[in-house]
Amino acid sequence: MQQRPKTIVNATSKDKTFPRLMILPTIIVLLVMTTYPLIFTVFYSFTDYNYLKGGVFKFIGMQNYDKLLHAKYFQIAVLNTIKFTILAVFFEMVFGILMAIFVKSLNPNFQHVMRVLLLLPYLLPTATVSTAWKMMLSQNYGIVNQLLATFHLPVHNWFMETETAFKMILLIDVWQNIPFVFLLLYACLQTVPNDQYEAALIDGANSLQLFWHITIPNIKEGIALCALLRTIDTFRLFDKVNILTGGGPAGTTSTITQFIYNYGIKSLKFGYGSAGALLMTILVLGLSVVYIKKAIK
Amino acid sequence: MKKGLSVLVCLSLAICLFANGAQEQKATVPAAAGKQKLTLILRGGTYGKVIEKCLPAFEEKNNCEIETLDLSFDDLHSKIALDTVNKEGAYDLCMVDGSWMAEFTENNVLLNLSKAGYSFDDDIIPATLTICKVGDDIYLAPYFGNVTVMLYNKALIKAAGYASKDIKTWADIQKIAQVAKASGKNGYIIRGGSPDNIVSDFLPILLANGGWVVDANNKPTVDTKEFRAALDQYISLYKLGDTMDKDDIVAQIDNGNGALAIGWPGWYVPKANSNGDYVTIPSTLDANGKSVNTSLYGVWCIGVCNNSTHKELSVKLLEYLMDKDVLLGTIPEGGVPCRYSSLKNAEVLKTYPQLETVCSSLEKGVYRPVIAQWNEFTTILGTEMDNIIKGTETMDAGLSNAQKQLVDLMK
Amino acid sequence: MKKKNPVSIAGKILLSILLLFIALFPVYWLVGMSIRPIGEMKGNISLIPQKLTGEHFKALFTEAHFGTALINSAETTLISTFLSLSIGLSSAYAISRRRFQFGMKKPLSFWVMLIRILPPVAFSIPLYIMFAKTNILNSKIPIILACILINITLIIWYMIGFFHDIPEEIEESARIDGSSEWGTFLRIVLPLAAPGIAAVSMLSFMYAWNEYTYSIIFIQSPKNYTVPLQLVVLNTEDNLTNFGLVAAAGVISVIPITLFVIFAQNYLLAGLSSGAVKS
Repeated sequence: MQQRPKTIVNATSKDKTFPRLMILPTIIVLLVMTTYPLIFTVFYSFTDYNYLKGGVFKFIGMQNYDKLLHAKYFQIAVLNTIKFTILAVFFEMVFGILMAIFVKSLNPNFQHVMRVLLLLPYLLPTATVSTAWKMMLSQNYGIVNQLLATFHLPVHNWFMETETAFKMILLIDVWQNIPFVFLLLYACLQTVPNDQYEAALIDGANSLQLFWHITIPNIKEGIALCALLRTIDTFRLFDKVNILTGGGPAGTTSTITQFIYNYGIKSLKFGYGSAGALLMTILVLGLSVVYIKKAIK
Repeated sequence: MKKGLSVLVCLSLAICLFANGAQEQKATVPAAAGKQKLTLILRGGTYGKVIEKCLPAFEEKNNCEIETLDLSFDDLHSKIALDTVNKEGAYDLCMVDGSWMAEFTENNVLLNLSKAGYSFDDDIIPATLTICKVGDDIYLAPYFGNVTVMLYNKALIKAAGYASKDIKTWADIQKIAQVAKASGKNGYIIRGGSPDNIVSDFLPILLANGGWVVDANNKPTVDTKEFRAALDQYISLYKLGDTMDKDDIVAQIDNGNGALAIGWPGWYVPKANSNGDYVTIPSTLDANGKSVNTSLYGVWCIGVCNNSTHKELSVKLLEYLMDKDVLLGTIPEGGVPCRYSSLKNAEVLKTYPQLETVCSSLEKGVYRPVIAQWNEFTTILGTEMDNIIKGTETMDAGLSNAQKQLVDLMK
Repeated sequence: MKKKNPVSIAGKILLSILLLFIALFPVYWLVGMSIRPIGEMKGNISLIPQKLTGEHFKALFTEAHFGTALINSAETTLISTFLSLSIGLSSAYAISRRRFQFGMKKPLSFWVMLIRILPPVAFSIPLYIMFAKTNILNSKIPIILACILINITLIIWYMIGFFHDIPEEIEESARIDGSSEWGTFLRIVLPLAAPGIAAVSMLSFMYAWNEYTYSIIFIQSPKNYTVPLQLVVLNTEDNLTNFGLVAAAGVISVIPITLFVIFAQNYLLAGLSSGAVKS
């Protein structure tokens, strides 16, 4: 134990070049790929820049932001997106954790197979997932309605009814993304030392106590990061909604990215679009500030 | 040792990467003597495929190489628009939807074809030419005659006492829908989903009621008596049926669960023994009504990009693609030329009788308004209409909201 | 050792079957659609395909140029995944080690996270303009760079946490034994972090393979089309969705990723960490 301080002092003073070299590639990539975009986005968000008009634009200060925040449909999209994100992340985390723990408790050979199979939903491209579910939920040739009808259960026009559209998109997105959480947390579970479990079992702990007092604290960092990553990615929900409902019915599935796309990007009004992108970023930062501050400490 | 090895691997991968990039760069620079390379940017599906089948003959005759990009609707628009600003265009011939016309001509995206020596002949259906010109200058040529038609199920209209030639007015449509609904089927199916789809599905009935989304000066007119009447009628038809997306609509018409719906010929190819078919959309409200054009165009036009690096050859290609005989040859592949010689050809009509309906629809066609902000216009209008149809907003509130936003947009 | 309770085994089997059903039924449906003739997809549909056909798969390769797309995707994905891992792991290691003190740590971490949070549209247009001006749009380089950019954010952030779980004592004992920093990193730390690396490499591969937002804007020639671009073309708007073709494309698209996952699976095993730390 006495040797420790000496090693650390040596380590910090000598090792300035090694870490610098290690992070150099990242810094190069970030400088090259993100400096211009960041400046571009912030700058143009204060202008009425329309890509097709070339260099002709004028500064309009906060007008874009003002227009966005007061646009009724933007507000609806923000509410929808936040609601969707919170629900989706919650379900994904809960089921992901449970799935990771369950699979880990299986026979190792069987684990192998389960891991690949359970990952499949996440591996499919979004367009394919959307089409597959559209096929299944169709009113005419969809297997779901057919089975429901056979059991005399109510049948719905799933994507066109205001009560069901949101829930369906939520279901499909959660279905596709649970494997992401499952995979990352499963890897984290591998690092939980077995001896902690053994010691607790000797002390007479039951499964629930093992879960709550040993498993969770050990993968806390992983859980927090997963939740953050899922929040960021879910907030951007766009492709599924675009393919399955187009934002309807009656705006119940409209999202922020869709709004920015429809009102800004599609018409090449990149000034407005950039303002939207920055607002979105601020919202996500708001949802995740607690985690980021802790993590960067 | 291992460090050296990993560095070596990284370096070699990086070199491969850049060598690959450099090689492809060279490949895209046209070979010195002779062979020019044209890049076409087209709409995927039948539209692009039809053009691609015509290319080998042109390539041989003109000693050139042509490659085509097939894209979805939105991506096609984005990529053409994004490339416009570059001095040397990446694309030569492009496929353009009529509704982008205003935006594109305002921003010099397309080459002035008249100045390049191109002109229309009178074999082309005149109504399809309206958006292709600005003043006297031609910018686009109508290539694929996509136009809305009224899909119907043969058995269900028969049950209501109608043969296809008897469907002449919207009153007929209403009657058929009521009979079908009474027998437990969907009488009339409206199209749901994106705001753009909702608006497009509604425009024919708006036209029949004497209304339109803008007036002669391109000022929004969505809060008018005619608009309300049309929307009332539309909603009453919806109550006799349901709202679905295109695949479900076609399935319903085909399997006999739906009687009527507006659609595009590309969705359904009627045959002698098929369950469904289509007719021209009725142009009058009832027997005494005034007749107006109600078939909405979705015509795909072709033009040349203003920053193309092979303007002359591209114009030549355009002329070739629009040629009478070349277009006639595209019909077996699914092509729909905007030419009388093709659509009224006796041989053709023997094998493809539905083209007669298409021809008469094309003659009575209406283009969507030529305004640069059409994209956003439909988003605004479609969203409000969706609310009204689904009942989450009253018609008064919804339409006045829409009018306000649209006036704001068009300022 | 606890005795294996037969009830709990049965319970585990049942639960496994339930999980597999929920995860895989849509996948089964997709596969089913890809081998059914189109005629079966109207009206009432049966749980098990009545007739089998390979016509959709054939059409994929003859009409939809899927072969080229597969090769292109393989190229961009493998290159970008490899480079992302190299760059990301190195940086994560440097940031996670307390003994490495340098000013850039906090700003770099925040910068990396900011990139992930910003929506893709904030990057795609300015990058397009940048690449157009430097004339490299006619290659696969822009796509690869975009994939690297996004993947290193995941790799860095996840692996920082992972490396934190590996105590620095091991590295110090290795240093004392005469190993260089780089050697320690390669030979000792990386193997210990194998489960985490396997996880992020799978996710990076998958992201790069399915990447669409940047690809659509950057790719200028059909020769460079990747699989997601071809997939979207098949989902055209005005024509009827050819479900068979779309399903077949989805099935083919998922096979390479699945193969990679199976390959990377082997590194997801435990047993390395706890043992090494103790000694």
